[in-house]
Amino acid sequence: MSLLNSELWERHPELAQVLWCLQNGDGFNLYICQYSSLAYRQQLTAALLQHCTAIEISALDLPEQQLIDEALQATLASHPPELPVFFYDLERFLLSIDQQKNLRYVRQLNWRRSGFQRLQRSVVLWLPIAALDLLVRYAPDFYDWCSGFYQFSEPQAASPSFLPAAFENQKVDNLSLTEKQSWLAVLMESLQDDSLEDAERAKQSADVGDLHYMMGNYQEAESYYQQALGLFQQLGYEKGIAMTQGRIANILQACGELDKALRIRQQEQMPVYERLGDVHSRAVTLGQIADILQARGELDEALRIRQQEEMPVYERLGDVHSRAVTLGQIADILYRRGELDEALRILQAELIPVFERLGDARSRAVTLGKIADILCRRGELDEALRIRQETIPVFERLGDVRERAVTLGKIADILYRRGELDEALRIRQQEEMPIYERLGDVRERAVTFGKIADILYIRGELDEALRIRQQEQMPVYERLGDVLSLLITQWKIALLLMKFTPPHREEANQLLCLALAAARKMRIPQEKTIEEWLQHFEMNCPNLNSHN
Amino acid sequence: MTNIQPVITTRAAYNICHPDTPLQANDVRYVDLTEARGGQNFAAQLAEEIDWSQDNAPPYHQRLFTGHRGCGKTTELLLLQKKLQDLGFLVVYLDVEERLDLDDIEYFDLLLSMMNALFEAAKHANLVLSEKLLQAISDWFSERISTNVELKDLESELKTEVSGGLDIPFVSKLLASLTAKIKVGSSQKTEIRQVLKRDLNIFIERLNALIKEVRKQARTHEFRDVVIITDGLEKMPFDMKDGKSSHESLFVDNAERLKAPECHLIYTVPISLAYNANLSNAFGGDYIAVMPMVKLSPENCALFKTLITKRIQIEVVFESPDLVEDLVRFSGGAVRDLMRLIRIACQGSTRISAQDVARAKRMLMLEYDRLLREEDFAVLQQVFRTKQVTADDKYGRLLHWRVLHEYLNGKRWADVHPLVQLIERVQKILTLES
Repeated sequence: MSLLNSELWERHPELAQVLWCLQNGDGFNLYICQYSSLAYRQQLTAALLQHCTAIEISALDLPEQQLIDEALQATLASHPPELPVFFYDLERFLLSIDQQKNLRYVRQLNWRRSGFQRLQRSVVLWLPIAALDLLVRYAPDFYDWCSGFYQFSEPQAASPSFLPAAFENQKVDNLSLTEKQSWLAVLMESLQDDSLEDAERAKQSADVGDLHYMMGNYQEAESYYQQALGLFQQLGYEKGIAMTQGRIANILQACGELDKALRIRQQEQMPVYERLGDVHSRAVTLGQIADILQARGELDEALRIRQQEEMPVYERLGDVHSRAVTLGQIADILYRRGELDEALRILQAELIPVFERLGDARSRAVTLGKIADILCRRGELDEALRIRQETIPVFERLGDVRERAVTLGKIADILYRRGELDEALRIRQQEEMPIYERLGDVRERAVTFGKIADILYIRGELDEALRIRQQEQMPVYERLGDVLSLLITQWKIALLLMKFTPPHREEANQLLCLALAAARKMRIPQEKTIEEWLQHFEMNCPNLNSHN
Repeated sequence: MTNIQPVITTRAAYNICHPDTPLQANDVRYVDLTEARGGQNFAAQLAEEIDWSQDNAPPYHQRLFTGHRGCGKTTELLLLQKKLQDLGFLVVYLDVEERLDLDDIEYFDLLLSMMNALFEAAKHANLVLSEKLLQAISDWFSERISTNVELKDLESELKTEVSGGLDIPFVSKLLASLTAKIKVGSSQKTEIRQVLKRDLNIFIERLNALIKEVRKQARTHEFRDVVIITDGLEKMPFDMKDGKSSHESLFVDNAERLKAPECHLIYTVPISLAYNANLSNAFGGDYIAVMPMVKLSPENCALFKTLITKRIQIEVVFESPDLVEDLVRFSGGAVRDLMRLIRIACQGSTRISAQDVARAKRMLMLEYDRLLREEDFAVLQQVFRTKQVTADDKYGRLLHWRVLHEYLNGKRWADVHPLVQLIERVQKILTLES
């Protein structure tokens, strides 16, 4: 939202401090300003620039092998000495899809910090929180050079009513990264429009949040969801509040904060839908609660909710599609409980006919995929492979690149089980990975890297497998705050370390203990497996109480 | 001698307390914190050790030097350089950050840039080196480069880059080009390393021949000997690979190679290696000099205060002298943090008030809070309870970031930075602890 200039100075006393520094600091000084949205950053810098002169660099021309400080030096060569610099968009180099490159840049900042000193002027870095987190983690020495760190949080807006259309997360699912970024730019520009109604602003903020969510920028996503939430609260639009809280819960869930996510679903969303009499949304939320319980391994309760609470609602409402989806989820639970025959019966006899009747080719293909999973588990690999291959053209025809990538991954899984490691590796590297890269899906990219590491592990290429786990997966999960994936990766690294000759026992033990601690905190079934591995290796975790 | 009067405005105070400008050896603002650091004056001690060992060299005095980030290592090394120069040594100061890619550094890069720095130092001191030796070194490099297919492109590039100009010997230019190629961005980096490392022993032999020649010529110019100071290695990033940290890979696995240059040698290293048993085996029992923090006893607080009084007229710039004591206390004995706190307090103020000090404290706490990870809390609890750190990477990182402080008075001990102790989420676990 836009504030009057005087309000801006009043709201942020830090602005006066930054200005003081720019006017009084001699030689090199580094200042970091954290902002929440582009529009707000522009307001802040405009306010400062009314009182001082600064060089603004927004799209630094950085050839592939040039150092950031040198590129800055070159750009500044034609400017008067001593003038401060506002350096925007550094995040372009730190938050790209290429994690390796991001890491290289951020570490370069760390060891090339003296290069910035040679600029002999004050440098103000304007960064969003995601980039700042990366900077703190991987360039702590650079961060330590900072002469001032300022947070500028955007205020929430207020205004009258509106009815938002449903958030359509799936529509951004298959956008390429470039498309997502361009769409993001469009929305950001629109949000800068002062005349934008608060209701529309709330919706667009949530849309921005969705885009960030899909790109794995969870912190940014949450910040926009929070903005949307604030607006909905001021508008008194209860359904909007509940839906936005649901999106925040999605982030928490993705980060392994299952308890917090569950609390939001049960205590924030459910009462609203009950009060509003919105039985459909209530049923959807119940399904999401079941998802969390399922993740924790509480399969019986999850099954009860699906069968006794969710299903009857859809049946009553005559919502055939939602009922079918829930049936599919019930089959998933049965599959996890090992009741393969019943799961297969549901999928083949109940689901497929429904989707055929509805003409829903996509859901039919997804269900065929689930059937293939069951066959796979029963050891019928050839048939499973045939089905998977059959569904690929369906997703191609539908333009569903994500589901195509998922299916390719499943095919690679089958080949892996058949021992055809070279072909599995080729699919992962040449077919599946490029899709996730194009989609900007950092999480799935990291997951695929993990699968590649699994193959390398079997082939005995331990060094490379370890490198992938440590450099390609861990930093992504750390950045996402994805505790579950992080603990699984720690556990897999531990197994790898024990494979070396001699085994790196101490480090492996530490990792397993870290993983165990996280699994216990989340109360997920992986806890037991990790304990078994610890026993297997005759290791213990002195700082953790035994649950045995 | 640099003579600077204590300043009387917040503007001047802000600029004179810049923590990123190491003091030159003769700066009047330098305060000898020897006693406060547990009686160790590092510059004097290292200079003395080199001076005394000189009569018996070899063995040469080769030591590692480390300390918390911003504890004044570079200031101390510049002082050491000055002391050694006063004692008649030719000091070759090698700033690694300037010359190499710290993100991807190998022992070999270090040795190569050491050779290059020796050439430059010799030229600077007007030493005339044996033409035959220069020729031999030059031939060796040229041979390696011209007979290796991988480096064919490099050969023609170097020919262009190092042609012309007779003031610097060809080999010096050649080495400068090679070092530049090893620096960030060169696609030939790996090839150069591979090719030259194939004949590592010969390379080290050439390096030592050069060192010998520089020492010999230095003596004819009335220098007593040569000392190489390698600064900046503590800035290399911390990574884990094959169950080993990047710090260990460079310093522990290659300790023998790093010790190979036959002259007095000081390396700065990351503090994470301060108590590494393997490194101790390689460099000898007393292998490392660690600069501890200043423990803030009443006497040391007064000494710390002189760091400020040498820069600032307290009664003019601060509303009350008590505020200075607060800042000293919040610094936990870290000079860098003291300077940062003063600078933040100056911002936007004409005279530093209690509110400014509170703001500075808050801002620094926020900065430390951002550095903490979930897994650090157990370490903080442990150190808070036992007042000890062990040779472990998880302690090393927190020491390096000054989240943990190490002190020396009688014996080594450690504690959590006082401002970190005040962070709410840390306070909770420490309260639980106590």
